[in-house]
Amino acid sequence: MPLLLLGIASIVFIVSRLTPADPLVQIIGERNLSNPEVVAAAKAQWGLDSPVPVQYVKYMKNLVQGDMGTSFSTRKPVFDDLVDRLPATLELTFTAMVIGLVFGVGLGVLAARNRNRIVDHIARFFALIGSSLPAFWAGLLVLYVFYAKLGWLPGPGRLDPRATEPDRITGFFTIDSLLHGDFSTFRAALAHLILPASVLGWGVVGIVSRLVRASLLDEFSMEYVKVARAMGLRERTVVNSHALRNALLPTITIVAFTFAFLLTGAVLTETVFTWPGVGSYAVNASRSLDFPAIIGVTILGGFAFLMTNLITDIIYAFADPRIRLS
Amino acid sequence: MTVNGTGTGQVPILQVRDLRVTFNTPDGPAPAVRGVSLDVLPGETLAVVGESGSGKSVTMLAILGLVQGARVTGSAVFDGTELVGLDTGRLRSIRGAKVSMIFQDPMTSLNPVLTIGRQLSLVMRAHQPHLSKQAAAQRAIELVDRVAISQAARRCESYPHELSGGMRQRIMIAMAIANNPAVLIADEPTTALDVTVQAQIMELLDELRRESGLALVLITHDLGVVAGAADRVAVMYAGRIAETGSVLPLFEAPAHPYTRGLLDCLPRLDIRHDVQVSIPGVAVSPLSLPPGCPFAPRCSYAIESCDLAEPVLTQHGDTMAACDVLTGAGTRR
Amino acid sequence: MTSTIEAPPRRRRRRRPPWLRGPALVGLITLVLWVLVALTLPLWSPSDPLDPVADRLLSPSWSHLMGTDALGRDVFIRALWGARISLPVSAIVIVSSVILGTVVGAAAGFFGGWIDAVLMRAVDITMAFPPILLAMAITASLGPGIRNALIAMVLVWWPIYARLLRAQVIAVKQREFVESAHAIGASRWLIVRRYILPMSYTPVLVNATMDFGQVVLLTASLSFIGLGARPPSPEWGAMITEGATNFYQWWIAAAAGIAILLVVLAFNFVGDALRDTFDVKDLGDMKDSGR
Repeated sequence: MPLLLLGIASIVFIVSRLTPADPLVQIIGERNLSNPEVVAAAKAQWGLDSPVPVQYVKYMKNLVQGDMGTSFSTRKPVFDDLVDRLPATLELTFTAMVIGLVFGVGLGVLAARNRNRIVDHIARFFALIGSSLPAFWAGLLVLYVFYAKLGWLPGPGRLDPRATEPDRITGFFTIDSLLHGDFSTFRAALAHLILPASVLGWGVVGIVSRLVRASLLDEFSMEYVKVARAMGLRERTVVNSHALRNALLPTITIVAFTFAFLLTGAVLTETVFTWPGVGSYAVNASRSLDFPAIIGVTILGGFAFLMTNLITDIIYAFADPRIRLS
Repeated sequence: MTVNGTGTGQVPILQVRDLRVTFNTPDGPAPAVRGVSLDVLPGETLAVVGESGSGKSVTMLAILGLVQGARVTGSAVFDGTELVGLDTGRLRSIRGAKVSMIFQDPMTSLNPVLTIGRQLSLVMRAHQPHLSKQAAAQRAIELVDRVAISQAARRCESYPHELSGGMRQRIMIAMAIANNPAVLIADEPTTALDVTVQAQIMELLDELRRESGLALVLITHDLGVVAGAADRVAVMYAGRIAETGSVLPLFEAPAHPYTRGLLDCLPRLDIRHDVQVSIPGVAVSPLSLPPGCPFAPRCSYAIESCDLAEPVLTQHGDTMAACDVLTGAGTRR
Repeated sequence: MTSTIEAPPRRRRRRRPPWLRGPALVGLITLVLWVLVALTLPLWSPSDPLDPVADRLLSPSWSHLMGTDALGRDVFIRALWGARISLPVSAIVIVSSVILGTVVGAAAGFFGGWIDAVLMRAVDITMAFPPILLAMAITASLGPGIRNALIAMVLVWWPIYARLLRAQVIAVKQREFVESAHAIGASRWLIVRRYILPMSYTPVLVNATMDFGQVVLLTASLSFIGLGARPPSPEWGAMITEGATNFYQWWIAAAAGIAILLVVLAFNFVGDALRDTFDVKDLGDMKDSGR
C-alpha cells in the first residue's frame, strides 16, 4: 500500500509538471515576467530553477516528511491549509453520509417490501433522481427555494457572515459549539448544514436504496426466508432480523464507493454553498493553477480513498460471520 | 367419506378435502393439485409419495398458506379450524406453532448471519410472546440437546456454516418442535443428506413423534424411507392421489399400476434383476394433462376407457386406488 | 425436488422484453429526441446561441421559453445547443475509454503474469483517486478547455473498463470451449476475437450506458468549476455557472439543469432496463476492489 501512495504522488507530480501553462504567472504576475531579476528570484524561492527530476526528488523527500510544499495562492504550507479546511469537509460529508444511509436503507426496505406497488415506484423514482441530479444544480435549486424564496433555511456558508466561529477543538462547528455549551451557535451551524448535506445525501440515497432493494429482494428468494415464514415469524421480523442483516452486507462494500461519490459531490457542493472545505480549496487551486495545492489535495483524496477501502474491508470482515471465522 | 383405509375411528387432526391448487402462469392456469383428500391421524406417520411434480409438496405448502401466485380451493381442517382462506394473522400463528414444516436443504434453510440460538429464540418468541430472551435462550439449549447434538450450549453460539448437514437438519427439527406442534410436515428431510445420516434423522423424527404424540407427514420420493417409517401411505401422481392405504398392504399388494411400477423399480436383494426396471415415459406436466387418467400414457395396463374419464379412489383389497383397470386382487408378479 | 412455492418456470417469454416497457421506453424516446435535436439544430434554430436577441435577463415568456440571460441570449435555445457539446463529448469519452480499457484489460487477463501485474498496477493507481479530483488535476495541468477536459475524462474512466474486461476474460478463459479451441490449434488472436470478446460485451454495454449519464454529469461539473467548456460556449455546466452568478434569475440555471437531468435520467432508465435484460449484477463494487 505505501507503494500505491508513492505511485499516486508521483503520477500527480508528473501530471502537474506536464502543463504548458506557466505557474510563474500566478506567483509574480504578468507584468513581472519581463523582469529577469524578479523571475530568477521567484524561481529560486519556489524551487522552480532546478531541472524537473531534481524537483521530483526534492518533492518526494519532503512529502515523506509530511511537507507538501507551499501554496502559490495562499502562501501557506499546503499541509496546513488542508488540515485547516479538512474538518469542514468532514462535517459536511459525514452528515451527508448519515442522511444518505438512514434514508437510503429506509427507502430500500420500503421499496422491497412493497414490490411493484405504487410505493415501490415512487421510492425508486426518488432514488433515481438522486443519482441523476447534478449535485451543484440541486444545490442551487434548494438554495433558491428554501433560502431565497421561502426563507426557511439560511444561505451559503457554515455560519452567518457576521457570526463568530466556536473555538476550535475538533473543527466541527456542531460538536465544538456543543462542547462550549453554545446552543445558539449549535443551532445555527446545524441549520447551515441541512441544505448542503441533504443535497449531497440525496445522491447517496440513490445509490444505497437501489442496492438495498435489490439485495433484499435477493434475500427474499432465499430458502431461509421461506423457512422463517413457514415457522410463523411475523413478516416484520423476517425482514428486519433475517433478510436485512444479509442484505446489508453488500451495502457495506458500497460505502467505499459512496465515499468517492461524496468527495466528488463535496467539491461541487462546497463551491455552491461557499463552504470553506477541502473541496472548494481544490477548485480554487485548479482555477489558479496552484500546483502544490492541486497535488496536495489529490494526494489527500487518494489517501482518503485507500483508507476508506481498508476500513470497509475490516468492517465487512467483522459483520459477516462466515469470513470472520475462517 | 374417509380416506383412512383402516377405519380406526380416530378423529383426524388434519382433514383435507378436495384441495385444489392452480398456479397462474403466463402460459395459462397450471393445476398442480387437483382434488386431494386425505386424513392425518394424531400420532401417526403418513407418507406422501410421488415423483417430482406430482404435487406432494405443493399440497402441504398450500395448506399452510405458503404458496404464492396460485388459487387454492377446497378444505383443510386442522383441529377444528379451516385453514384454507384463513386470514394471514391466524394462519401465521398456526404455522410453526401447531403445524410445523421442515424442508429439504439444511444448507440454505438457516440464516447464515445469525447464531443457532438466536434463530431458535426468534421462532419461540414469535409464538410465545411472554417468553423472555433469557428463557428462550435457555430453552434453545434444551432443544438442541433434545435433538441429540452434544455441547448444546456451545452450539447455540455457533453459526450455521460451522455445522454439518446432518446437524443443521437436526436444528431445523429443533426449530420445528420448539413450540410443541401437533403436526410436523417433513418435506424430503433426508434427500440432501448422506445415507447414514438419513437413518439418524428418521430415527430422531420417530422418537420425537412417539414422545410427544405429534403426527408426522413425511413427503418423500424415497420408498425405502417410507417402508421403514410410515404407518400409512398416500401415493400421488399428477396432482391427485393414485393410491392410499396402510403401509404393509400397500407394499405387499399394490393395486394401482403406478404404485406397482414404483415398487418394481426398487432393487431387491432376494430377487435377481437382469434389467434395471423403470417406468417408461416422463412425468406429466400440469400444463398438458391428458383427458382421463393421467397415468394412462405410461401405463402398461391401460385400456381405451382410461383415456375418457379420470378414475376416482375406490376400495381395492386393503387399499384405496384410483384405477379402473385392476387385475384381480393386485398381487405382485 | 425442492419445495415449489412459486409458479412453475415459464416456458417462453410472451411478454415484451424489458427494453420496450415503461421507463425504458420513455428513456429511449428521450435519447432519440435529444440526438435528433443535436444533429438537426443548426437547420432550424431560431437564434444563434452566441448572439443576443433580446433584452437581458427577461423571465420566461412565449417568445423566449426560458427567458434570456445576462447577455440577452435565448436561454432555451442555448440549452438545446448544449446537447451538441455534451453528447458528442460524452460519446467520445465512453468509446475511447471502452477501447483503451478493453485493450489493456483483455491483455492483462489473457496474458497474465507480469503484464497483468504491471497493467493492473496502473489501473489501481488511477482508480485510487476520486475521479473528479484527478480530472481536475489533469485538466488544470493541460489548461482549461473542453478538449483537455475530454482527455482528462478518458484518462480517469478507462480503468473501469480495464478491470471489467480483465475479469470477463479471465472468467471466459477458464471455460472448456476455450481449452478445446486451443487444443485444435486456434491461434490466440482468434480465440480472443471469436470467443472471448463476444461473451464480454454484455456487461460492457450495460456499464457504458449507465456511465454515459455519469460522463455528462462530469463534463458539466468540470465546466461548472471553470475547467471544461468556458463562456460563451452554451455547455450546460457553464450555463449553470452563469445561473449561479445571476442567482435570482432562476431560469438560466434551471434550463441547463433540467436538460442534464433529462439526459442522465434517460440513460439511467435505459441502462437499468439493459441490466435487467442481461441480469448482470451491479458492477459498482468492481470499481473499488482491486482483486
